[in-house]
Order: sequence, then structure tokens, then C-alpha cells
Amino acid sequence: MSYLSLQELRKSYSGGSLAVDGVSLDIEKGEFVTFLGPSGSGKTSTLMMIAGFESPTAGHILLAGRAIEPIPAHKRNIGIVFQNYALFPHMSVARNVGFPLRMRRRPKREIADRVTKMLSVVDLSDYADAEPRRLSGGQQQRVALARALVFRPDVLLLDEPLGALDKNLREQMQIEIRRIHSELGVTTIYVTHDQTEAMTMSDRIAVFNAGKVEQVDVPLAIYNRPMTEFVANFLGDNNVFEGSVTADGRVDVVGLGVITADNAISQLPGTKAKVAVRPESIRPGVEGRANTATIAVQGIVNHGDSVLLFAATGKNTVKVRLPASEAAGFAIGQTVTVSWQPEHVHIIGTRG
Amino acid sequence: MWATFLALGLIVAIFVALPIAVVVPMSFSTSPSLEFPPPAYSIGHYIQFFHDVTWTGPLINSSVIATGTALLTMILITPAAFAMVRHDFRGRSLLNIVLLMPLIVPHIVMAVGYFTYFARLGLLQTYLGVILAHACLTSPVAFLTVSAGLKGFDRSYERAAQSLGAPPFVAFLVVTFPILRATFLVSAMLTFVQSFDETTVALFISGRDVATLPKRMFDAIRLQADPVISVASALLFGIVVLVFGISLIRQFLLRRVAR
Repeated sequence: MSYLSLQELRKSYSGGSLAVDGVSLDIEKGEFVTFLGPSGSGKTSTLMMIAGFESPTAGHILLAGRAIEPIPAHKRNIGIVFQNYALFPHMSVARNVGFPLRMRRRPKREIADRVTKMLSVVDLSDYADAEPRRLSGGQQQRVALARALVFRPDVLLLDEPLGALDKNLREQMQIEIRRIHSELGVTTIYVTHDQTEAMTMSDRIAVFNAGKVEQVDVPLAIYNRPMTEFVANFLGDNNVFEGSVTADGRVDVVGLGVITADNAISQLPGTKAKVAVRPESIRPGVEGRANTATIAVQGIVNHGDSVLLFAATGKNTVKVRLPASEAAGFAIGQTVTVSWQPEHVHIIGTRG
Repeated sequence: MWATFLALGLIVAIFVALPIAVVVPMSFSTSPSLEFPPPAYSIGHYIQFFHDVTWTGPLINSSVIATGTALLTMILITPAAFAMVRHDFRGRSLLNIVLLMPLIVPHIVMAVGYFTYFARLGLLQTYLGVILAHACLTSPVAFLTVSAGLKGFDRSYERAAQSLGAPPFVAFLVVTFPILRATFLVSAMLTFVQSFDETTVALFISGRDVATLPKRMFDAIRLQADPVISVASALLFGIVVLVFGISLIRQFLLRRVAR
């Protein structure tokens, strides 16, 4: 039995639209799981239901085996950090961090001790008496984190917590949040639309789209073995080709031939299926690689550290990403033979 | 074009300020009647005002009624504003109209209504009666100011407080209310001032026992041109200025501290 279990969770609003459409997910104790998806995909609604600010239209949320839907937010013992931090402007940093302990009527001395300890965990010991608005964005973020952790919540929810920070600070805070997570070991759900954040921070990623979870897996598996076209395209750049299934479970794509992948598909021969190949997995030349194609270069886009070649074969456009050092000598109109290994190709089943 | 607007603005400003410029000097006059400009200045009328129970009584009545009205109105409209801003429910737009009704219905009509049925309830010439009537008159403006404040309030403060263990009402008391304190203060002051100088309804239902200051002034001017009226006017004006002055000074000081 997993620690936090979402079972066929649904949420519809008065307009009739389904914000969350049957989300099931099991999260282990101490795990760091990211809800990744575009805005409006249902990830924040799901988070709000776990926190207790929205009630599910149907389905259950089990925490340590107990259904928590009837429990009001203030009794759930779940910490949450909002994108705008929501630090109370009329309280000092220490009073903000002590707030959940005061609400739990802990003795004064215990509150002082735990606040001091928590502030040192987030490296803000010198700012106990500061007003929140005097702090930088990163510092405010850490105060919010300290406040959400000081009462030892069963689950920590982070709602796009780095969205308001600039890029450098964001990377710093990613490392910081991971450090604090491994130090305290609290079960964490992290909501973001940033795939890089999801890739670098998570134990597992749940990809949300249109109110459903498309795939849940460790980051590399999500990246290398997407189960849906949405996942293939949402995380990084990808080539997705449609073809027909062959008798031996491979896919025949017009213009590219029969493609061997790291998985076989058990659909009826002749039915449609899609394959995903990362542009960086396609190399010029053959050198014993199983899948080959001859393509005519139609466009070259220089990204500085890499170069993206566009080529058309049949109905498909093939994108090839080469390191800048290998890109010299390609010209538009040139015919190139490229190839890629089966382990870099993944067949996506057609769903439904 | 710009100069025309400026001139128009000045004329309007003078027009608005002129009565005050007349009344305040008159209250310091030595003349035994209402006379402008005053022949000489003294505080004689003020001494007379504060030694006359028929004037100090109404001043106290008005203060009690305005304070009671501000309290009652805030207690009534705060939950209403939360419901209207935060929730969508059947009959919401109808309720909105009902809440704003006292703005539309002529005060004289409401006054006649109160006069008739407060008599049956024994509420005529009582503090409670006037406070109830004034709370009704002042609720639309208070409701609108509190609603505006709530609409601009980021709910995540409240949600954060709840996630940290504060029950909804506690979250309101320790987080929402302090953050929106300025909004509630302005709303309460508007209510206080509106009740303090309300005349029509007070004329009908405050009677002799709980006569408010405007009611007493109205009675006085009907009988004779008693110059003490100008003192009452100046005080009425002074209290309004004071109430708003306090909030302005407070804001100014807060901003300086913040800097």
C-alpha cells in the first residue's frame, strides 16, 4: 500500500468542464514526485484537492490508507508553498515560520527552538526578525519552505515555487530544494510546467495533459520511452513518425523504411502506430546502426552549441541535431545518409 | 482646453468649500444672530454649546449611534462581501441588487417606512432603532468598499494559513483581516461619517430622546436663527475631517516607516 494514493480523482467546475478527469497515482513515503504539464492540464487542481482547498467531484485521496476528502484543509497536516510564497506581510520571518506551531498550541520554548532550527536548515538564521518584503525572492522562497516544513507535515506540496525567480536563482533553488528534501525526507509533490526542472529534481514524473495523467515514470524513462505522442513532444525536441505495424511488431514509415525500436508493438499488422526518435540520436553515416535513411537537407538552424538540420522524406520532416563541431560542411539541398540505433527509438501505441 | 478645465475645477472647488468658509468663522462670531461676516471673534458660542444639554445630548447621541452603526454594518456586510466575492450561487445577482437597494430607494421613503413599523416594534426614539435604520442605509457603501478590497486580495494568504493549521475563521482573524485592515478601516469610517450626518431618517425616528446632532440643528433653525447652530455645523464638519485625517496621517506614517 502506497503512502499517498489518488484514486480515479475527478473535478468538474460549474461550467461543466472537467479539470481533472480520472487521475490515479500512487506515491511512496519520502518520494519526490513532479506533476508536469501545460497550464490547464489539471495538475494544480489535483494539488488543490490534495491540500483540501477543492473537493473532488469523484474519486478518493488516501493518505497512509485513510481517505482524507472529508478532512478540512487545516486538519490535514500538509505543507504547501505557493508560487507567490504567500508570506504574511504583517509578521516577521520568525513569526511566519512559527505560525503553524502557534496554531498547534505548542509551548513557547519549543516554538522558538524549532523555528531557530528550521531557519538554519534554510540558511536564514540571520533574518529571523526581518520583514518578509525586505528579503529577496530566493530568501522569501526559503522562508515559505521553512514555514511549510517546520510542523513536520505528512506531505509537502510545491505549486510552481520557482516560477517567479530568474534563471540563475532558479537553478540554485532547485539544488536547495533537493538538498532540503533529502535532509528531511518528506514526501513531496512538485508542480511545474518546466520540463528541465522536472527532469533534474524528480524521483518520478507524472505528465499531465487535459486532466489526465499520460505517463508516470522515472525521468529518464519518460524522456527515452514516451508512451504517448504528447509526452514525446512535451519533454524536449522529438521526431514523431506515423507508420503501419509490420508482422514482427516493427513500424514501417513511408520514406524511412521499417524502423527497429527498443520495444515491439503488439498491434495487428497494418494498423497505424507512431515512433519517436530524438533528433540528437540521429547521426550522419551508417557505422553498423540498424535504422538508416537518406534525406535531403532543407534547412539549417544554428543554436550555437548545436545545429539542427531539417529534411523532408515522404510526408515527414526529420530533425537531426548535431554538435556544432560536427556540423561543418552541411549545406541546403545536400543529400545525407543518416542512421540511429534501435535503443534510441520508441514505438508509441495508439491509445483507445 | 486645459485652462478651461482648470478654471471649471477651481469654480467647483470654491463652490464646495464656500459653505465651510462661511460656517466656521460664524461659529467664532460674537454676533447674537447668524451674521456673515462676523463683527468680531470669540469662543462664546462654543462655551454656550457645551453648557447646553440640549446640544451636548444630541452630540453624544450622534456619536453613540454612528459608532454602533459602524460596528453593526461591518459585522453584517463582511460575511456578505465574502459570500458575494468568493462564491457563485443561485440568486447571487438578485442578492447583489437587494444589497445595493438602499442606494436607490429615496431616504424619505425609507424614513416613512421606518416611522410606521418601528412604532409598532417600539423602536422609535431608541438608539437601537436609529442604529438599525442607519446600518441599512450605510451597508451598500460599506459592502462595496469591502468587496473591492476582497477582490484584490490574494487568496493564497488565506489558503497558506489554513494549510498551516488555522481553521477558516482563525485564518480570517489573524491573516486576512490584518492584511486588509486599511480596507476595513476606510469602510468603517465611511459608515461612521455617513451615519453621523444622516438627517432624513433621524428626523423621523430619533425623536426627542435620541435626537442626533443634525436633527437638533434642523429643529433649532426652524425656531430661530440661533448662532449656536454654526458651532454644531463646525463640529460636524470637524469630526468628519478628524476621522479621515486620522486615517490619512496613519497611512502617511506607515509609508514613512516602510521606507
